[in-house]
Amino acid sequence: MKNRIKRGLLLAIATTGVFAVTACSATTPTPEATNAEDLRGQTIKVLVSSGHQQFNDVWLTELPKFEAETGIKVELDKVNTTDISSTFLRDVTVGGCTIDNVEMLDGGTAAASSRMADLGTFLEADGSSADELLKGQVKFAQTAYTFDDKLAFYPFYSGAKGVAYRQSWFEDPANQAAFKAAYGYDLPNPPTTQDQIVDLAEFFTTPTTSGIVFSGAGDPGESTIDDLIFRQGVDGFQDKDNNAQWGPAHPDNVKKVTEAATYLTDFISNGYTPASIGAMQTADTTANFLAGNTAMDYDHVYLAWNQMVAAQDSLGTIGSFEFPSAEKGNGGISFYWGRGIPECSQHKAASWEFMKWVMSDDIQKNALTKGVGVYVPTSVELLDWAVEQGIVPQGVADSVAHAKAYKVTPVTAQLRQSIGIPAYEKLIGNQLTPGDYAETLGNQMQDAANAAGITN
Amino acid sequence: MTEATAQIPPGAVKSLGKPAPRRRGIASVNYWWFLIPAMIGVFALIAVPIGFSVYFSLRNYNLQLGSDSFAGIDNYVRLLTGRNADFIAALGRTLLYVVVVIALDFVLAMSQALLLFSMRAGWAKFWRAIFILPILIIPTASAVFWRNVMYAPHNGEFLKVLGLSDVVSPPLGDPQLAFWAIIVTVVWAWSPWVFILLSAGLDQIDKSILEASMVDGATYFQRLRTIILPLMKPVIFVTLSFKALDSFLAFPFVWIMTMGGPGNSTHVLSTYIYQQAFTLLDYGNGSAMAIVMLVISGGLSIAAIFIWQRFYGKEA
Repeated sequence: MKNRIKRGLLLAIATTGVFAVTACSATTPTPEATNAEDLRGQTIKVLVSSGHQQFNDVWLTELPKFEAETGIKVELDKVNTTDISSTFLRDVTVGGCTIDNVEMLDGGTAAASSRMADLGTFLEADGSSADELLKGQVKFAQTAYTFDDKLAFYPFYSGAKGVAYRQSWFEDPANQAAFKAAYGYDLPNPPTTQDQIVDLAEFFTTPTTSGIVFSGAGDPGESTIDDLIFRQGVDGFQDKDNNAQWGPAHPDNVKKVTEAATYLTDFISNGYTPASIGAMQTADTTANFLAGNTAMDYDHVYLAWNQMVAAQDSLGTIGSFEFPSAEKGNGGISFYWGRGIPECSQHKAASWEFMKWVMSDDIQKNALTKGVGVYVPTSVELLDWAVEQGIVPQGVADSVAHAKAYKVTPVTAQLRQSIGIPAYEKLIGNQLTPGDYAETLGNQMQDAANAAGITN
Repeated sequence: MTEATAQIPPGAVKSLGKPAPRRRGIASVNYWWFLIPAMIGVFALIAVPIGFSVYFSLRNYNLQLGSDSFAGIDNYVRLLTGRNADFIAALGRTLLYVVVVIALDFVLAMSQALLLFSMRAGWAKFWRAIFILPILIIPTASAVFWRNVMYAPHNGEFLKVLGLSDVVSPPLGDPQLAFWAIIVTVVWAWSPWVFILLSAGLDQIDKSILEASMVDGATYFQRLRTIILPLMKPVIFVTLSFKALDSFLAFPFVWIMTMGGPGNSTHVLSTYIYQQAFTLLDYGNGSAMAIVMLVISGGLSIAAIFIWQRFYGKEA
């Protein structure tokens, strides 16, 4: 009995030793040292958002072809959008680094960036460079994916607020005459200033229709006011020292945020929006617009653009435009995703092959045309193609093209989610005045940044 | 004495009547072997997760910020001294939620059960099937249904049916109403569970006692107050104890319908903790909150068991 236990112990020690030696000697191949044959038989785990149903057809029909061609087996792990950052960070910190490729949302990019491989080295091994790749991207994407001079994520998916509007109403001669009589200038189609939007919202508000609708709750609501704040001339959430952009360090910006909040809430207090706006998120504003109840929908309109195009049979022509900025040249906010390869991945070369394949124009075009819903590509060429095809509305493409790059730090997601969303909902619910909103939010953001120890 | 017993020697009878003492060592060793699988389960599924939570709660562990350092009891001090106002608000709201949900569930379910108790068997079966329908829908689907159909901001069918669509704004967007709107949904969805248990309890009451009281001229409310409710006390106690714990841990309805909004006005403890730990990745703080919640729910459980043993243990 004792001998058996001894033998068992010796076997366990020997096995552990073998594993340890194997693990130590299993160096990750550098990009230069790999060729296609080396990658055959490797399995990579790819973490993707379950919300990105645009890629359903790609995963179903194209991925098997990639696997057959390269011999690389791809294990897709689909997780909720809100869980993807935590799932990834858990995996690379305490989970043994099982993920080889990940889609990362903007708020999570900063926290994950130190764990990511530099994609520039892979591009260079392929005869290209990070600069070459970024040159073909929309403006904000040229800086948003780079951390400490490292291209941590491959620019992939973008979104921005845009306005879908009942273009046929705007083109109606009777409406045009009535508008000119009431406001003294031609009905703008599309509008180019914020004041014009107010006039239009008032003009199209009737007992049965609202002039404008936007999200009044949750993440879509918070990003609506962020879009306006950016368009008011505020450059992001944190300055170069990580202080809150409209906290005590920037009293001038507090005024701009107050103006943005006043501008938005005036639509509600003047009755130009549906009464229930406080409960609305993107799905609700879209439904409201598609039901024919509203002249302008200021939201993530690209997500349902195909439904809006289809609804033209009953609603008449629907157009889109970028929401005007208070000062010319100030873009709004963008929401974006990047794909990255963890530095600790044991299959970086195979992961890079997958990256090149999934980011290729053919595959992205497949996702844009055959998937469920639409995303806005960050590649300028692909974006132009998507607009030409009528897949992405012009107004959203313009918003993305003009979107402002802003600093993302590990605390940005917290500032927006735990402080920004409740504050916005209180503003819309009339529990905070615009001035209180700007001041309270700024102070809370500064406190959170201080508490995180990231301010200089 | 029968023939059979007559043949048994006196010593043997004695040994049959009083079992021989067990050989303590061997018997206890065998007994403990059988407990090992259960102990492994308890250790792996309860002790280890709680141990990890306690460990994380003593650290400043935030994946988003990349921080991980020993914090001692700082996280607990921040919570218990009220420096985290949102946590205190969520705790207060959770307790209010438990009390209101239990009260409404009990009143509604007991009324339904009593109604069916006095009904003819055929009709009672029919109505029982109707009453339990909501419980057949999974909670997530119920929450989505109420969020998107009944309270839908652009339709507001529920409010239209009540004739209140022009009077009351869609409740989930109103910080004053959202919490109560969730409670309405929860009571609709889960009061049938209370109804089933109370109804089963009522069916166990000996009807001859009630018939005797009727012969003696007792009114319905006298029978209810002096016979039905006293006999139902153990069932009511167990049902509401379970319901209290279940409500304390409420998560799906709040998360799906409002995610704690608008303006944090509907966060209960579980949704607030989830947000802190899994959305904001503040595991240290989230773990401390989870431990506080565990202590409170554990206290409630122990109190329920104690009360049960004190008042109903002998009856049971």
